[in-house]
Amino acid sequence: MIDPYIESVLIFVGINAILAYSFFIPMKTNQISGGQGAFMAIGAYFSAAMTVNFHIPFPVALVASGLIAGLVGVLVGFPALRIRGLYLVIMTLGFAEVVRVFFLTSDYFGAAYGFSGIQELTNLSNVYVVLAVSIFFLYRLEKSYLGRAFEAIKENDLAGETLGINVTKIKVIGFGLGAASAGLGGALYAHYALFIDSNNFGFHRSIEMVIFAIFGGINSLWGPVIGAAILTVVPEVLRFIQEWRMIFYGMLIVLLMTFRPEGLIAKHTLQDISNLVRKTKRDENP
Amino acid sequence: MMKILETKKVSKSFNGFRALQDVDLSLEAGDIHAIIGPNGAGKTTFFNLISGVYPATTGAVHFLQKDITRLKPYQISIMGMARTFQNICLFPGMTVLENVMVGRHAYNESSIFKIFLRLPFRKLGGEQRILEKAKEILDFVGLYTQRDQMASGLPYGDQRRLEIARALATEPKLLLLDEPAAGMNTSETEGILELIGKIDKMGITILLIEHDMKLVMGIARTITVLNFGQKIAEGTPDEIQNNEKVIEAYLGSE
Repeated sequence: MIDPYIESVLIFVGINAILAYSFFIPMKTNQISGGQGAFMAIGAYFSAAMTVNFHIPFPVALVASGLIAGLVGVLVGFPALRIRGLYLVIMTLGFAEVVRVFFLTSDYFGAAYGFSGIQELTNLSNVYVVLAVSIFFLYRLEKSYLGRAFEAIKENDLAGETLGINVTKIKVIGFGLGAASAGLGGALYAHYALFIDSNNFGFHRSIEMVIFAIFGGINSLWGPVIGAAILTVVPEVLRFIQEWRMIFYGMLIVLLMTFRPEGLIAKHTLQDISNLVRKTKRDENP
Repeated sequence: MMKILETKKVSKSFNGFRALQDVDLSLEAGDIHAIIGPNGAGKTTFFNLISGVYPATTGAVHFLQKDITRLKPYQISIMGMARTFQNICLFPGMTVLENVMVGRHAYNESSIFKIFLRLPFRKLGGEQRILEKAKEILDFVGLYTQRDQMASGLPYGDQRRLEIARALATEPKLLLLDEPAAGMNTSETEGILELIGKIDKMGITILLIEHDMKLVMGIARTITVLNFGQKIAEGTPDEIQNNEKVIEAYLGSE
């Protein structure tokens, strides 16, 4: 049996990776969201209400909360289209605050007392199944015309539009998929934390997702996973230095951004590494 | 002959500044038509209006006998109009081949659900055809061997070529070229001339903006001259060269 402490770290690595993707996907269409915590909250509260109040099986609740968050994402995505860059960050941040306060005041969801009595239904296998399926879908997306459209919009949306790409539609798809990913992460989180309140999904949470994705690298599919894994494990490994660990964590981010602003995994990093390995092998056995 | 493009008294104002005033233009299918005029005459604004980048303040644009005045660029593109940009707008972080493949976007054959839900190890329908067609187009413009390079790494002249390739990938009926030879040396300009000739032979109507008079006079069959947002002359290269108003606009009166 796997050590329960290690298991819990691994579960958080998986959940955080799914959350990091929720920032990464809209970012692929040049939409920077500072409020993915809102969609995580929607996924967490709705899935909890489904399993606790309606005894809906967890897999169904999980998928449904992803869909609900995705749908809200699509609705928010439309007004978000008109806004770019920093303004979009502020707009999504405001939206996240609206959602947070909604759950803080909604009696149905426990208001300020939070939502308790959630069963522990999240485990290592379902977290990693969701993560694997997400990566598989994203890989397919990248290899399709839709992935090219995402990248085209990111590089030059006007040129993309004159080549027959419906930029509005693609951006809304990107925003919706990101929101759905946050919803899934939220549902998994709720059924592992067992108690949720609105403070779990505030500004801090949204920014954490941004940091995971940027730290790992937002131009590679593997960036968000690597970023989430490192930044989840490092504070655990550093427990022995106690209160100093968060300083170390912060320093790590400062250093990486200074020396490698493109993130740990850049677009062609993995390609380069595999080429290098192949080359070394060739040199060893000529 | 069929009119492929017609503008009816199109005007565009930016905060009160009238960049274009009541411009009428009618373009025959199969023509090579050039729009010339001094800097700031409104040539690029005119391109932006017909390709839907921004709507006309007044007037109407008809393409293939349909009113496209309020359509979005992607809708106009799907109808069969493609364009290049004065300041090159490639996707610099994508390869040469990928740039052209983006131009095939509208020719994808699978819905978003198919992308995610098809069986593993089965190719996405249409993707292979997009790839083949993109390679064919790169071969046509002479960039096939550079297909795996980053677009940003191409020499300037080839970047312009790639932009044309990308526009051709949409299979346009009308191709708008915004200064295709700008900043090019003599041999590169000759290459572009040859390419435009090949595109003309394919039966694609060409509307181009150009500063290089030698290029314009050598290739255009008809010419429109804009000055201060208004059309001041229209005709064959010979007529334009001897037009008083045109000479005045370029050289100044007195």
